Amino acid sequence: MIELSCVTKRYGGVTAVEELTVTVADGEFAVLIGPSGCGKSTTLRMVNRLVPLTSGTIRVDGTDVGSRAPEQLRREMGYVIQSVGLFPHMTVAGNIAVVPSLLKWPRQRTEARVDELLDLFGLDPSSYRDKYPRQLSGGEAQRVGVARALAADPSILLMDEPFGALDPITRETLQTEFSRIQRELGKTIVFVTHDIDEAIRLADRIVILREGRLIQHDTPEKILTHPANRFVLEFIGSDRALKRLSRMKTSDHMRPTASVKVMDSLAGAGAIVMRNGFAWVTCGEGVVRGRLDGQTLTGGAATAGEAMIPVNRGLEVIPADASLREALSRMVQRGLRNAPVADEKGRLVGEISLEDILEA
Amino acid sequence: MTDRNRRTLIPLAALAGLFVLLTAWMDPWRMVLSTVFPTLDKVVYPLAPFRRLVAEHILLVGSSSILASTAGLCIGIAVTRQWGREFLPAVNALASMGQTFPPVAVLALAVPAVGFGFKPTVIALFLYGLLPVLRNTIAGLQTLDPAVLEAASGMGMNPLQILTLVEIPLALPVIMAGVRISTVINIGTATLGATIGAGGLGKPIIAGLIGENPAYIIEGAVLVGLFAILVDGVLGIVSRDRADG
Repeated sequence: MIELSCVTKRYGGVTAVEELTVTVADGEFAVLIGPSGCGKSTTLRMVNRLVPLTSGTIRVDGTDVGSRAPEQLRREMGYVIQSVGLFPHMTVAGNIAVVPSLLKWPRQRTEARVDELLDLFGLDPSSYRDKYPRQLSGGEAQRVGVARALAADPSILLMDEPFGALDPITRETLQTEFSRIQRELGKTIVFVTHDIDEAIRLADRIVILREGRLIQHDTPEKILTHPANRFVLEFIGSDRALKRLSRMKTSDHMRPTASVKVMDSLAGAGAIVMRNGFAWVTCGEGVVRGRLDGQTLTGGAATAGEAMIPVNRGLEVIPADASLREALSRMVQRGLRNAPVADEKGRLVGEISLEDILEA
Repeated sequence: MTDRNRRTLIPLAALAGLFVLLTAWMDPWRMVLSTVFPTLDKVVYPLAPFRRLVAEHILLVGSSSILASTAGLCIGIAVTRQWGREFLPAVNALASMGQTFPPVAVLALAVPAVGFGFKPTVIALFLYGLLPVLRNTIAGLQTLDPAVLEAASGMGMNPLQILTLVEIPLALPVIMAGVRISTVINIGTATLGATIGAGGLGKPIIAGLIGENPAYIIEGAVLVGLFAILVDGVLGIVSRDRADG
């Protein structure tokens, strides 16, 4: 647990952070956000004592960080920065092994840990271990940067705009990857960003700062539905309803649906279609192939497979773990009122309709 | 050792062979120089064997360069620390003055203080060789990527670990370039030591200038030149090896 109480930082006459009181619970993903100069980075850097406090206290698991040796404290917290800062004269393995070697881990344990982390970030250890930072792409370098911060298995991770310098596609990939890893590891994370979409995507709780003061500290959902004031409202933007959808998973809002097999006779399938208005047609393993409705029954075909309207699996089937925002986007794009939802193997697990999304 | 280094190693070995040959064996000198200067009755410097002059020269350059490099490195590190930063402008100014001060003048001033011979020469060479190392150490340490340094302290390295594990390894190619320049300059400048009895390869040069014997001058100059090229090549390989990790 990280507790900031009445934390103030002044540089000369300028107040960077004023009387900030915020608590981050164990295992919580807290995002500090605000316009530039709002004191978010300064706040983060006060937690690991890279910046000294002017007044107030910061406690980590009940201990005042001011009473700890800075180096010891920092070895217990991972630290990731926007510019990555990999050591160019060390290999990827050497970079990840920095904190373990400062903590004097035995070599075998360090090596095993390096490989484990490279695996976790989808970097094949045998080909990445001995590369130098200059041989990595931006996305790979930041994966190594995060792996390095996690090397000694700290319970706290401090991240200062870690994905800010990446191109949008790489950034989104890393965000997805990182939230998967976070679900596995359950670290306490303090994450600084100025990107509200990133904050909404990743945060359990968002801390909105302006000119060093706390404006709102709440879950993304609450901030989107109940912004504290005009500043927050403007900061989150006019598409906050859509942003809220991006926090919701399709699988949580889909409903069970009727389906028939490709080989089913049209007569049998017709009964189901009559009862439901329509039915999804699946093949053997449950993979969605098409759609049957009242009009398609009249064509004189023998099986459901012959009569169905084929479904474009890439565009019209919503992955169960997609956000409602993505589901809505696909449905609007393809002009659908309802769409089948499938698991990662493409098997039908339910359906989602525009009404479901409006009610969410 | 990299391929590039292996390629530069062959000409370097040939040069080293030539240097040893010309130091140990007088016949080539005699043969060539007596054809070039048929009027001279003595063409090979007679007062000391070349191997002794070379040994004296190595001792002069070696001790002054080791001193200058160590001092330059230490001062350079000190003035780039938080606690030493206020001395940076003063140190820069002093070192530049040392560079503009003619070595002959240092010799003239050092002789009354420490006497003739080895010591005043080493002092002069030390002062002269200090600046390149110092300037490059400061430049190397000041141009490091701030993100790398922030990562280092953010990960819990103490100042000494940051210096030894991050700053020096990264600045080493630049520092080594300074050491190389300083040493090569000193190999040439060390010939002046002969004027105050420090020996070395300056002896035949000075003797040739006084006795109007160009053969002696050529002998001294050729050996000094070869020695400088050799040392430059070796230090180049050492610093490149480090830079390649």
